[in-house]
Amino acid sequence: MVLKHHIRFIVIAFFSIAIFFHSTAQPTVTVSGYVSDAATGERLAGATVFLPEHKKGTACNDYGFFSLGVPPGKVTLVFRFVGFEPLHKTLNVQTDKLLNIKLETRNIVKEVEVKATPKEDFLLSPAMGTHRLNAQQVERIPAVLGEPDLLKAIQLLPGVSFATEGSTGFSVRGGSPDQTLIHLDGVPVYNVNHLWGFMSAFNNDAIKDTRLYKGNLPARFGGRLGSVLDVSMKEGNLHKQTGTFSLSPIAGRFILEGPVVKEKVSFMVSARKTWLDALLLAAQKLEGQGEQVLTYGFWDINAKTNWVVNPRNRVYLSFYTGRDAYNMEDGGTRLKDYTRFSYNWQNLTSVLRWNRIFSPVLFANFSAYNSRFRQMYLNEFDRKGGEVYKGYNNLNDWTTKADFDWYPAAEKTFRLGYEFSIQQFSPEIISYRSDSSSFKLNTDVFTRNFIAEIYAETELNITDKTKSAIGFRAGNLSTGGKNYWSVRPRASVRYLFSEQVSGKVSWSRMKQFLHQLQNTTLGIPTELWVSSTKKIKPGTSDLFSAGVFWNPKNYQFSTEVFYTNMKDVVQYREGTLAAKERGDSWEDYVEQGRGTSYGLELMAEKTTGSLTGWITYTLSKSTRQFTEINFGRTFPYTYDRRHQLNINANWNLGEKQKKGKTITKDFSATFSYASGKYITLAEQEYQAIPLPLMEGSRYNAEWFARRSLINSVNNYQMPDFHHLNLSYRIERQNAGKSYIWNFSVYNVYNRLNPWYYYKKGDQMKQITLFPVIPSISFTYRW
Amino acid sequence: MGNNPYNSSFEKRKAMRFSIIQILPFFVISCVSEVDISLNEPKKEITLNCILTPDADTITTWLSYTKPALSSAGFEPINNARVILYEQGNPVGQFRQTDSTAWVLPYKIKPGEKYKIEVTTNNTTVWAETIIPHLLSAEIESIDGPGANLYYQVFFLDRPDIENFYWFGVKGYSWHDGKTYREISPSIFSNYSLGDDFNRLPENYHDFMFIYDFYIRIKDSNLPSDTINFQFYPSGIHIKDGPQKVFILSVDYHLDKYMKSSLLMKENDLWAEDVPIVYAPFPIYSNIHGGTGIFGSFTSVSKEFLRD
Repeated sequence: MVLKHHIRFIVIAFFSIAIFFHSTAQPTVTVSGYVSDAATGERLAGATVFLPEHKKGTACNDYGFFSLGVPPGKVTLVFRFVGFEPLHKTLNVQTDKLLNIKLETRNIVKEVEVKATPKEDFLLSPAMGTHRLNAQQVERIPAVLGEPDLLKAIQLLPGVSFATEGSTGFSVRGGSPDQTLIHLDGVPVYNVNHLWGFMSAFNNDAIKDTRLYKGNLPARFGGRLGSVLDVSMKEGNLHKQTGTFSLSPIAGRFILEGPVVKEKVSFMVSARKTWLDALLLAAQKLEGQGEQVLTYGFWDINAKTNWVVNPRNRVYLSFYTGRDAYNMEDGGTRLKDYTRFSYNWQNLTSVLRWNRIFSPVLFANFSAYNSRFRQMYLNEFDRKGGEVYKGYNNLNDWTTKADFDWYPAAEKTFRLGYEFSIQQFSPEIISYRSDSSSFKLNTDVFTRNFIAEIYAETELNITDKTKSAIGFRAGNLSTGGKNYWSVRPRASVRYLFSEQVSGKVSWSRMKQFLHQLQNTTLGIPTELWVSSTKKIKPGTSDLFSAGVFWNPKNYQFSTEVFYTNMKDVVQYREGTLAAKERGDSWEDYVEQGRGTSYGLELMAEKTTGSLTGWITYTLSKSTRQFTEINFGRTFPYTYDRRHQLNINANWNLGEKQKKGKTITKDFSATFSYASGKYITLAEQEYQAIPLPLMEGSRYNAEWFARRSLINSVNNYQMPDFHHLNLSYRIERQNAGKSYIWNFSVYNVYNRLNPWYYYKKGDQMKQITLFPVIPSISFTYRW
Repeated sequence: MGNNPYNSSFEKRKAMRFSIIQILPFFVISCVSEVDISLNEPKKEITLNCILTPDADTITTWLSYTKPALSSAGFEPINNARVILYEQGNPVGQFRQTDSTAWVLPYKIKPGEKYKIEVTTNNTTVWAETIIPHLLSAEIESIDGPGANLYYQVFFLDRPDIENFYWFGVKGYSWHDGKTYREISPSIFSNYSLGDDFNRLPENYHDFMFIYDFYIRIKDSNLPSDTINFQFYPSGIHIKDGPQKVFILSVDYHLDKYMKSSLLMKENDLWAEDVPIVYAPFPIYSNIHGGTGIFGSFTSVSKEFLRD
């Protein structure tokens, strides 16, 4: 009850501030509208609008909308966005005006300019820990088997660490993978992995923009403890039909976009499929593996349509679906001794969005979405289907939300919104049927959540040099008759030391209502999504950050320190095997405890010139502590990597004309170094004695005679990880068509990075996942 | 049931877990290499193992040093050590080394008393303590079961004033490869749902709903009343091959944690040589200060049954 009063008080205070600013504003007219790419019609989120005579401006919101109060009369507005020619527009405004601004791509090809984090986000905004990547940057980063991968690219940023080589699972500032909220067009995606985490679920061709928020999270994001990865899909070219078709050693993909009705309705469709299944079958036939057959395959599809109803209304409908399927059969045509195992998982997301400009100072985005994730495994011991063991996990999320951007006065922006969700969890439903017995487990472990939240945030100019952002997110999780109310403040302050240097501090409190249970030392996604319940509380975190940011011409330098304190994080108890059958709820097999992480991040980025790229270094520590794990002692977290160094460089080797074709060449390199991963490994053994009654027993007698000595969880640090990847890209362009060859070498000097260890007899074996791997991929664009 | 310790469907369901392990290697098989590595050799620790019971007239303690995990050598015994047993803080005797790692002390342990063991060697002292559980009184009866084997019914009253840990097991004989072995029943069928499920799987066998590995563990804080009364059926041993003895062990806190963590780790180790999708080793419990091993205790009630 007290908490509800607090929420009411905060809401009233917030609106009071907003009304105050509105009432004290100078008389103005409002110029508002959208900024988009002249070539494609894609809205440009973050494009800036500046009024030079009055030294004020604003930036477009996530939907490319801006609103700026200007004095009546003749004004000149300057529109800018990285990679585009600035546009100067002189207007004589006497009343509110709605504009549709189109920016042309910058033509000066000798001067490469990377679409890095804009100055407004990097230097001027109170927000910190924000990084931006686009599809072109991701495409140029050398990747395993030639497949550009967003989640692997993210791992090159400061404060982001990976579980194991090749895996897309990542941790931000010492958090677990489930502590990062991953959005695709505003919809959470619960499983972002193909190929057991070696490739992400994101088709790079379909992506327009990606933002990683860490440390200071905008109040419009909630539900996770650590960070947000916000991925936006392309909207579809409103002017002409374009497409891309790509082949790599492991998969093929295409994207097709264009107008359905020019300037009004567009579509975008992209798809990707692996031919790993065909390669595996062929390899098995060649090797003559007889009665055992393994196949594995995945596919994914993105589809979107975008309808400009009128200048004030726009509607989007988008889908994503992807599936991975593994199948193993052993026994050929035999009826006896036949085994078939299949395992598959699938995502399906769909969202309907409506952007509406209610007035020159009020923009709204309404969304309704569904996100589903399902895993299923099946074991058959009888070719006729007489003995079947099946299990599945389901998650279904229905949400409606609204976001309002309100510009009540010049350079004053308020963001408000609400979100209502119904989430259904069916974890670990197991059924077994044979001639002699049958059972079903966990059918009563179904959980339904109701989440209702509101948020508000604004930025305030305290002095000429000091700007702050304050906000809050508040609401309730209702689950199994239990209510969890919470208020989560957000605050950050920016001080401008000079035009190029700023300092920032921030604090965010976060709550997490869902948890991903992992029982693997590899970071491979065998995850189970579960909800907070009456027994399992939501997690809570406090994120503190401070940093200095320097933005001279062509460069960005940053230094950030962070400290994260987590409470009620969830982990499986010791000895809980992921595949164990359970007659009880998963709640009986987990522990809740504390987590702490802190560190220093350094980043230097060059954003223009023939050589662009970045160097990052992170020094960090991350620990966990649970009462019933590791005897209650603190231990290093799985994602704890003391030192990380990443170098990403791209050389534009210039452009030349040959036989009417424009040939562009790029050379890219990435170098990654990380301290060795912590694992639990027995370095010693000790003499043991049989348990009572087991003296003389044949069963596991040898095991009971000696035991592995493990003094602590994650007691052993594997050797450091490092590798160098190179790629060379040639693009031939002619009459609007491009042919792109990409030659890459992964792990150039064949570093045998340990993936995991296992003991075989008296020897310890190391498995290395990726030795040196050359690959070639081809892309055709029109 | 014969001499097969496992119901076939139970075995198959366990086999299913191994299928999961095969998932990863197959598609990375062309990119995998094996490299022999050497582990660091950390400082060796003293291992002390001793389980006290009032059923024995002599106490045996095993002392040795730990060894590197990759060494195929035996465990180095600890010689020249002083091993003292204390009862309620008073020394009651010094152990004598008999054979390699075994040290003995002729002494009869008393239920309910507190004991401490202290080992000093090369200026290093390790020690541990245990409190002997109180004696039990129980009724154990047999019932004719399937395949001419026996069911058992146990009944006893818990002592609510203290925390107790009970472990049920059966020892008998099994015939295997032309020989008869005396050993513990590897699986126990029962409908008893209040047993700890850490070593339990659902089962549907002759109206029994559960199958337990080796023991049924009961923690009295989980019981709704002071009465413990249930039936069970031991599998993997047969009355026709020799007498069966039903045991009810009341173990102390330390031995309870040691037994449970050992059994959990044993099952975990089935996956140790495969890709660790599910393999996640963890420390086995030890209450030895300055070393490793276990110093615990139990009291027991048992009854032997013969086939007429």
